[in-house]
Amino acid sequence: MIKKIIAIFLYFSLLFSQTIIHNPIFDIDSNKNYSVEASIIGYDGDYVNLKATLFYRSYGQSTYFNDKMIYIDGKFRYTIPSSFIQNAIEYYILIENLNGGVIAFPDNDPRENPILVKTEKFISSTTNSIETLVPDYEILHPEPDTFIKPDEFFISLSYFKMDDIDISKTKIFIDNLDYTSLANIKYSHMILIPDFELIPGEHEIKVIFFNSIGLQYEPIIWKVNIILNDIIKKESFIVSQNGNIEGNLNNTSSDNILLQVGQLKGDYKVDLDWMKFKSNFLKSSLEDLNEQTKDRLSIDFSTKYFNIKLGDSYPSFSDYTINGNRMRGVNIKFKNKKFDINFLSGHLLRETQGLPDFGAMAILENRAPTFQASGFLDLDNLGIIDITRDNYSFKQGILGLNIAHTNDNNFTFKFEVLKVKDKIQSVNQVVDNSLMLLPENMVRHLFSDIFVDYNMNGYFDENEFIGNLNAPDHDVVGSISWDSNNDLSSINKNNFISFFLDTVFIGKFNDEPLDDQNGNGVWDNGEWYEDIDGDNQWSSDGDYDVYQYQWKINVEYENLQLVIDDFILNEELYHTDQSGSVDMTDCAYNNCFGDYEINLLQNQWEGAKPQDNIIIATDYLHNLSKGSIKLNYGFAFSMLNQNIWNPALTFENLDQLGAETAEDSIDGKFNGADIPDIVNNLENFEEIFQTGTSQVPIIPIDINDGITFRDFLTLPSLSVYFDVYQKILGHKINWGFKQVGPEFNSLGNPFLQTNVREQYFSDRTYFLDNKLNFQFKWKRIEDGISLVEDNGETNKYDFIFGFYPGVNMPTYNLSVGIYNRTNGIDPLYNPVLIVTEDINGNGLVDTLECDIAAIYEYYCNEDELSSNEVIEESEVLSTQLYQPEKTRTGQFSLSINSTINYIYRHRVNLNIYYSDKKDLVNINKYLVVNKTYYSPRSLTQSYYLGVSTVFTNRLETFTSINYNYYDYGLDTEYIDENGEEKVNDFFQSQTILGFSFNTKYETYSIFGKINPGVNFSLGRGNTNFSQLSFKAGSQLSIVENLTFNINLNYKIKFIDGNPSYDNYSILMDLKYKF
Amino acid sequence: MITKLFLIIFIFSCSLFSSSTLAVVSKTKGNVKHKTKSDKELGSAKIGMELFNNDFIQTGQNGFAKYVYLDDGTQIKVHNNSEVYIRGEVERRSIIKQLKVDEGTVKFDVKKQSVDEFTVITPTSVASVKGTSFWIDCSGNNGDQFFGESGSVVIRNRESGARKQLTKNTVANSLPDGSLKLRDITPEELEMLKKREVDTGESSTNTINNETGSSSEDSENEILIEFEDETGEKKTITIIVQ
Repeated sequence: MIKKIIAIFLYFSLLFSQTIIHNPIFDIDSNKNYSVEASIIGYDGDYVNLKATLFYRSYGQSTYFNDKMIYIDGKFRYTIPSSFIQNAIEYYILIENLNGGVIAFPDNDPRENPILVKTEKFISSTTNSIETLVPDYEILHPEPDTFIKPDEFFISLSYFKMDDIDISKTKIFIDNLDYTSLANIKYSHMILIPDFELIPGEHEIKVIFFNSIGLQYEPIIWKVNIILNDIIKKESFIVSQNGNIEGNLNNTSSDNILLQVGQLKGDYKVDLDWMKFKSNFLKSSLEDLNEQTKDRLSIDFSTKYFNIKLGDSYPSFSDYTINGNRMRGVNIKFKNKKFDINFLSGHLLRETQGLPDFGAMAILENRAPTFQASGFLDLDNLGIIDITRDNYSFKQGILGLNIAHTNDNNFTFKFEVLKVKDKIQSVNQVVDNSLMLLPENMVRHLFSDIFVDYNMNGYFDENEFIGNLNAPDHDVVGSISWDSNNDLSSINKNNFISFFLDTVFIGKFNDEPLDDQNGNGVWDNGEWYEDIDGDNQWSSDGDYDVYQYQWKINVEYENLQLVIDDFILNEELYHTDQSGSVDMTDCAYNNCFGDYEINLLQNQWEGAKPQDNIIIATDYLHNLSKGSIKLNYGFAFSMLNQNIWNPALTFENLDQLGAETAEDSIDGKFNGADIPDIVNNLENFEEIFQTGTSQVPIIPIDINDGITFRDFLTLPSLSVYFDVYQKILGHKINWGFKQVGPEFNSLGNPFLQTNVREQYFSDRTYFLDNKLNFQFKWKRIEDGISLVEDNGETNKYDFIFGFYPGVNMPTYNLSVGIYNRTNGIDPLYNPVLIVTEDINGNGLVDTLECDIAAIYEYYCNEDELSSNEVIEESEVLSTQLYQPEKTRTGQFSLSINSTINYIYRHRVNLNIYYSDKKDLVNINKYLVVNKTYYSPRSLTQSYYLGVSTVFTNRLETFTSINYNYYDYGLDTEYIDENGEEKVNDFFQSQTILGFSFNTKYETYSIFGKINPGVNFSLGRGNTNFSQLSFKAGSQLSIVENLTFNINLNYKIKFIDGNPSYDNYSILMDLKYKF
Repeated sequence: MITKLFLIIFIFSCSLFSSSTLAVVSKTKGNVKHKTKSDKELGSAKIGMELFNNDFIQTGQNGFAKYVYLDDGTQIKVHNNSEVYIRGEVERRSIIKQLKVDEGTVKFDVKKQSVDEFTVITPTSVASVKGTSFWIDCSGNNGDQFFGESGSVVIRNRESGARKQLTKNTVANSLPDGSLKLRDITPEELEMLKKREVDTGESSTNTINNETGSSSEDSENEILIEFEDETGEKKTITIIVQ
């Protein structure tokens, strides 16, 4: 329980002390890439230790892709290409630090509330509804994915069997352009004969129907290929082909951190009529064999039923198995009307061996050599050193299968199995030329004796021995007199890679030096001493540093045996007694080398332990009443062996696991439950899952007393969900719950939050002829899945309004949220006393009369006798680890986007975000007990106004101003144990004001389209800074299909008044289309 | 007068509303003529044209027409030198289909019929189809040849009343003398049918099923992937999904 609380405590302390600054642009042009930029405030560490991940998806897609954002020029950046964006995208940002702390943007349940970025296509093609009815249609012409000549092209679609279509609202798009006006739309079918010829290539047709109450049906989308007549005549093997090749270079200097990244990337698509082929590659200059690959390569074959991806792909089964994570290998999909099968084989992570000079191998002291009383080495007990591996990663193999079967579109059953296992053999036992530091045991015979640096000069001087002159307290090597470190003159230093002598602080010493003749440990009259502190007496209350000269020696693994042999030889030749003759007798108590055996560890290395993970999941989807009701439920079960080097799970191992006594270890029980005999057979299934004492869970479920529904619901390694979607009376209602157990693990989706239960309800409805939509959402998130314990929980209430009055009218999005959170710990306003001397043994802090106390054999002292009472001794329970958390957050956001035609064409974007988190704990009262309490309260305000203006076809400007304010915590005062006033400095705040002006101008010259701009930011608060950025760039077409882009950025930065001029970035790319 | 006018308008309107669109012409090539029941003259058939009950299609020496039924996407390909009448009736959101072939070659890709069988009538024979792919080569009053590609078609000789079941890779000869014989298809006949498809531009793209004898009905259970090398040699992988 305490661990759980600490984890929660840490999580939220990290979570709430930092925040991500990101200004999303909610409306973009569909033909432009979308650049996501984010920075973090409240973080004082090195940005290298942060990992920012962008999760993004096309609107309507259920799962997210994810990719690492690159830290450039003070911000994490990622560009989503326009080809991906289509109509709209959703995304959120996660930033993790090395401690495992995570912050997100948006911070409120980002997965469920991602940022929606829309293009003009989205706004025009979908008035307000996405969750749609399923149409019953027949494509008459052209058939999907066929090849036809330009003059054969027309569109005809039959909806003969649909009886609730408002044909006046039907929309028909070709390549996302609206051609409805050309269509002859009838009650049973439509025909569109274009008055133009489509160009050769692939084209997309989309038809959107609405029912009589204005609800939109799921769009009908299919593709067709237009080919030239002569291609048909030739029956060419290649119908069409195209591709891109692009090289880009990014050179950034930010706060003296220089980053240079070059990338070469390209793609090639070819249509072979019966098959489509796609390939992509990316070669990055950051590619390093000792890190996970940054290069990408993928080859994609598609036929009518099959899609085969080789190389890098981003499979998506479900949240509980794999969901947009990159894998490299084979990804095969097969789909027909009945089956949808996806098979994966490859690896998620590649192996890295570690760098020889940076700890790829290391020496661990296993056993020191034993010396006999005579001083001779005990040959039966030589020293042992273990050679271990570190700083590596295993190749993480993945094998997955997802089978979905659909029955008449009304029922779909899905079964998933995913296995992820580290391949131990992928990491070598030995990395050539690995540098290893010899452990202290092996080199301490070369150290000096220990000395007290009385004169504080950092060196040994005469009489600076430790202890008394008569005892060898300081004598760890050689004779009883002072021995300095070995000068290595007799050692073969050629076997070393490096060595140096270090003066190592050992500790503190208090006594002045003395000649303790009688051995009583203190100075007595007549004994010699040195008066270091000049007080004319021997003192034992000094504060002196104790040091030792120590050799630090690095050797290569290949020379280790040579070093050992040389040390042995050296010791045999030069280990001398006081008279200088070879004598090993002091080795019984002194530091001698002896001899060591080298044990090259086969397993249980210091680095990451190999894991095995298997997940089995099912999913059921019922589509009732023509899609008006959708019932979706399923569960997933995981097993994770966190260290497959540990012993396999057997009856005996399980019996001993967790046993507290010898009897427990042979009682045939685990956690009080009988161990089934079948455990011994588990090894037979090792190919499926390798069991072991480190597996989670050890026993999935206790079946001794049967399985109840409650048992099933609280299985720690189970995820279960139930979701209902209903369309009723113009309302789209969604409710359900999902739960992920604390021991549910998927290495295929490491971002899955575990130990959480969610219940939710949402209702979306439309008014004013669908121009106004309203959505209410409620979600309860519990920090745990226990049905009996008091889990912490968050209740979220969101009210979302969207108003789309019509084409060329402003669009409004307003959301109001109220979030209540408690971590399940009630604040203790009164001190909790723990009795430390419990006289009467009742566990309470009592006041007893002395007569009564005497019964319990406690006899009052004089003071107590005078008052005739004794108060049992007690202490106040520290509640620091039981910090309560009770907060209420009010959140408001408003987004207005409008196109204004006043003199010129303007596009205005206004975003307001306000979040106020209040601490509901009575802080003043609580501080009496817990003086170091810090409040999680926070206030965030963000305002953004952006205007883009198109003056002519050549000139466009972008002006924006934004203001961000963030504060967190509370300054609280308290009086410490010494009665002094103290202030908890748990408050931080930051304000950032930014202004930017950018232009785009088509020069119609060799300079192409230029885009100069300027940006100014002013920060006040925890960090005071001001920053002026200049930007310039050009986009020009060198020859047909060959374009060159360059963007330059230069910043002048003042942090706390100190200027920094070394901040710039140069981004260039050269792109050729063929 | 006004009453008569209203009466005429009413009757005309009724006739208009009662004539539902049955199909849409999705492809024409060369000389293709068309007329409705009320038309006196033949006109040119065009893509996107709607077809109604009793519409007539005639293809010339180099003519070809393809039309698609609205309810289920059943495709009919009328090859050169052919004459057909389209007949049909809408019932329970399906079309009861009938095609009268007076002469010529017609390819049928009939989707599974939900209400009634698709009926093909020639001067010599009547074929009842539930869902299959087959050809008919009608020589007017001189008899018919049926070529089976998949599934089954029940053929009845109108003269004798004899019935035979046409299956995949079989040929049925139905003659005016009442004879109805069944035999295996020859490679030459297969080649001839394929050539017809190629000539009309129907073979190289989406007609894997046609070329290999698999019907649309079968396609749910059988996946055929055809590969062709530089020399034109073709190999097919068949995956049967249970």
